[in-house]
Amino acid sequence: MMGAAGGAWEAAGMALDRVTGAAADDALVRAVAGGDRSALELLYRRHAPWLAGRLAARTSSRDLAEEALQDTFLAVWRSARSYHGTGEVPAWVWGIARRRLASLARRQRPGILSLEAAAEPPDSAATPEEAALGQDASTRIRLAISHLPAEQQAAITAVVYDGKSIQAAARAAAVPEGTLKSRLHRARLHLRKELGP
Amino acid sequence: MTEHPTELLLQIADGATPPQEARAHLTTCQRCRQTLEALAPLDLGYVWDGVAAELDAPRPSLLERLLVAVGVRPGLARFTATTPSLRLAWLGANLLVLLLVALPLTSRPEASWPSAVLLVAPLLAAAAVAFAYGPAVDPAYEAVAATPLSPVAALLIRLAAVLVANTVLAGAVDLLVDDRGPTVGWLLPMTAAALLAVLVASRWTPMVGAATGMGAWLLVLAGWQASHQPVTWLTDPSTQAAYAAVAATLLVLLIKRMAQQGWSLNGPGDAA
Repeated sequence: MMGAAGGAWEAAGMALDRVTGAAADDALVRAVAGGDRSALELLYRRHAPWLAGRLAARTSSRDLAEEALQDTFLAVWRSARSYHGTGEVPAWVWGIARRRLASLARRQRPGILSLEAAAEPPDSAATPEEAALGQDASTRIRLAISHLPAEQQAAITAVVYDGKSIQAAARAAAVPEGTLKSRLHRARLHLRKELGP
Repeated sequence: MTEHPTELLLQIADGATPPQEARAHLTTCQRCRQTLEALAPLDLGYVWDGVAAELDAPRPSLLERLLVAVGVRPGLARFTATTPSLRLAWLGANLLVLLLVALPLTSRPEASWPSAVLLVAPLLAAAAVAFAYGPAVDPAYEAVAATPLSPVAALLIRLAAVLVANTVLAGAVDLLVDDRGPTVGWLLPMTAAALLAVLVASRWTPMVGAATGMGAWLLVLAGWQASHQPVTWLTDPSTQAAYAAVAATLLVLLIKRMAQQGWSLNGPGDAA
């Protein structure tokens, strides 16, 4: 698992919490450009989760998606100096991730990138607020969760609402970790289907 | 944001970009990070470990990157670039020796002595064999010994790299310092001395090989001194032809030996 980010940025964690995300993103990229590795780790914490979701949705190969995600942050490390935007870090990293995935897919296994992924508009991360949820969305998600089979509902509740780790949630449900993971996975497939795109 | 953005986490795990305040929250909230790691379709910890490992990996040297750029396999490029006798210290010492011999000779009015490069280049090339490969000089020897690359092939690859470097050095000194005009009369004796060193090294050790190569060239010089021949004898066409014949013979012997021995080296570690 990820180690603790050291350096000045860890100490500035609370300060980062207070400033807006966009300003903090820009500041982090500038710090990465200056060779601050802990800043890269903080950027990873902020952006790797949604990048992972998007990359995984665009290829059937988990290995390929993980390689693309790794390459993306290595590219961020190497090319942070070239970032001159303001508040556009999500669009910038997604641009890198998308190109990395496409080039890895071309090189390794032609055709692995699905047609719909390739056809998608390239700058779909242009607005960082894309996922900002209104009250309606939260309500819809909670409603959709209540429609899940009991064991999937329990898995989602334990991990997402109670903040339990996979291990703790599996212990509480008295099932192996792998079972809990697959329940979570199936729950998310259900939710995706019910909530639509 | 003090509350955990629970439903949003599900959307983030599906690829939605979190809003700014949620990003700030994710930077510091251990619990939400844990939830996202659990929900993520990829292993985020594993990927970060990969990023960290890449950042920690030593950066390839300029020579290694050049070799890769011209199409050399990465493993072979690293093997060649880590040749002990290609280190700056060794090449610098070679340059120093060439200059130390060349500078006093340039002040001699009459051409009674061979050029500095001709005197020294074969000695340096043979000596380089001792520092090209082997347990005594190479910190990576054990790692290399465990690879499918045979020791003789290893020695030859490194020798070729060293000969190229020595030729460039000797050529530069020849052009810049020696006032006898540019000449490549030293190239054949240098090659012959290095080949002799490798042949002997393939039978005994790189150190013995180097000593033999250097000794052979010193014997040639001593023979020239004793024969009272003019200095041009060392570089005239018939002598050059003799160097070439010796080099060709050594090369044939080396190839024959490799064919017989299956590219093995009877070094101190693996003597029969």
